[in-house]
Amino acid sequence: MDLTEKRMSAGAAAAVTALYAEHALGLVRLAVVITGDRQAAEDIVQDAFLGLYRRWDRVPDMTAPLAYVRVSVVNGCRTAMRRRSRLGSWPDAGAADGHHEIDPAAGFGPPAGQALSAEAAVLLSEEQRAVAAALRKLPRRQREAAVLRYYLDLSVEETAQVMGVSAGTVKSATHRALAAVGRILKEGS
Amino acid sequence: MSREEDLIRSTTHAIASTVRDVPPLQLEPAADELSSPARGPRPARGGRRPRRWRNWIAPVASAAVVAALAIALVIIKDVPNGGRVPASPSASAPTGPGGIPRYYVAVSAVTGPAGSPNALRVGDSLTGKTIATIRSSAHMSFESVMAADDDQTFVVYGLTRSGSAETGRWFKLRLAPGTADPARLTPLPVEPVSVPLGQGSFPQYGIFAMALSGSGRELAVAEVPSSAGGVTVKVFSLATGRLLHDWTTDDPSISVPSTWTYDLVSPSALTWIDGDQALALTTTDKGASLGTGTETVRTLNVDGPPNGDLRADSKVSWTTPAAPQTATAGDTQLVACGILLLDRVPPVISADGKTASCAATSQASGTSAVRWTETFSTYRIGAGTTAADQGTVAYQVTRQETASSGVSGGGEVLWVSPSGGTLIGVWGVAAANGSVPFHAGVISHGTFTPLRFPASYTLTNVRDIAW
Repeated sequence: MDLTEKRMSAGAAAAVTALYAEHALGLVRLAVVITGDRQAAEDIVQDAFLGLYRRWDRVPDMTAPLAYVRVSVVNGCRTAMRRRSRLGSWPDAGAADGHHEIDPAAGFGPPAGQALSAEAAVLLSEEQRAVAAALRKLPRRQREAAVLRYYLDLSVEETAQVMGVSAGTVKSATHRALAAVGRILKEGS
Repeated sequence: MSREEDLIRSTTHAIASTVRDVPPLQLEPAADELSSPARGPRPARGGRRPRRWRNWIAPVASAAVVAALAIALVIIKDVPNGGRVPASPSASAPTGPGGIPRYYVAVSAVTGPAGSPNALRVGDSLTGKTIATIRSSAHMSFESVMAADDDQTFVVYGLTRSGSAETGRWFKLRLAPGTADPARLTPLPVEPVSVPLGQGSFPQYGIFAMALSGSGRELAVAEVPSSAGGVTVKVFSLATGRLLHDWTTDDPSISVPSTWTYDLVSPSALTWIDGDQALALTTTDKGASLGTGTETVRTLNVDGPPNGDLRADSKVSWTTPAAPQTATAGDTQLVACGILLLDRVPPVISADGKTASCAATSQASGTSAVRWTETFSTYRIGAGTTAADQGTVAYQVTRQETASSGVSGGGEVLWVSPSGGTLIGVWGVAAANGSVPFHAGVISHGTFTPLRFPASYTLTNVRDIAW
């Protein structure tokens, strides 16, 4: 590494570290809301910032590094859930009509018995626990859309950018998420 | 604002509020983590519990022990790998519906007592039945499967994880339906590949695609060779494990999204074409991971020098925007063949190297209903062609759904015939109970013939199944 590269590296480290100090807590919280797993959330965010650091001189849109990291975090959540689902034991869910069920909750969110941390279980009201359980039952895309729209208060367009889908998909996914949560809460009451 | 919106907002904020601090940023893994992949698991940061997904790994397992355990759970009997597989299925094995290969191998979940992360399920497309199931060892998960042309030879990729490294190995699966030994799995002599895991416990580089030649004699592997990036394509002999070809480049116009190396989400990025004389490689440029950039199909001639520069030795045969292509028509948005971050896989290239096939979803949302259309298209490819050139619609399905839970559409192409005229496609349809049954079938001459699968089978990833 020559001196120019060293200076560039030091500059990137300082910039990324400053960005981490400002946004890491919020991003870990986002990952916790999506995955329900504190350890995984911290790892995902660490990994996202490490990726940002390594690509600092190559990522073309560094005018919006937070947006880049946010996409990385959401992608990291998806990957973590995929890996978790692959390593878990999935139930048979066949249907007699020849269609074969994919449990939308499998691999997304923690196992039922570990749905919430002990602290969260205490802090959440009974109604919020029911909502958390309903969110856990949503398919991935609906859940991501709901979290990004209502936890981060992102616009439809911003959510679409983070999820890598069209605005129309975000609208329909959000609409369905709301309908599903309402229906699940109604069924549970 | 609706009551549901309020509830989701308050609940997610309450969950988030339980996180009050974060560990300091570590911009580089410790040097010993990168240089000692075979050592035991690294301590979790801050003394916390190790990642849950690692629990299925033995705490310290040498590569040799892991390999031995993996093999012990399947029938071990060496099969000579040197012979070329028959060019066509045996006379006693008729083809499956629509002329597709009759037998498939799928990575499948297992149930019952813990011990195997997953299993290989050998299925019969004609009868819909499973003819053999091979469980992985407790230390290895099957990750991907590839098929040769003879409908009997498959190659399986399995991963073991130990400490801070992930190691991939290849196995040959030979089918003999109707015999007492219908499926036999044997290790291949190709050198295992180890990649250190990053801070998120994901590989930061490594293999992103692989392909078995139609002859069943060569394995092509595409990888990002180091954390510095670049792309390398290697070809190995399955008989000897010897490296036959090796092309590499660090040209920024030939890259892949970093997410591809996380999870082998892009099996169709590498395809044998032209009678095993060439390889088709799909890459993107550097910007593609942010939803911009260009996706390119390049052709590598295997008859050329054994190694060289990937860019210089390849020809561009097709280009398309890597970002979602959106064409608004009224309230309908069309998402075409671009790679949508993690959600889509590259187009599937036919063995004659002349077509690229993909699935696209368009949808229109109302207040109480959603109408979506899944379109399976095939494009002619060749020097100078792009996705802007008109594709042919192979099959189209439209559904009108009430605004209930579930996801729909999201189709993918699982397989194409050598000429690209027949596809196997899959899509999901939301059910009233929130589940997402998958519909997979043969697409030919504008018709869709559903394929039958065992009731317990769930398809979750395109890399999980091969015909």
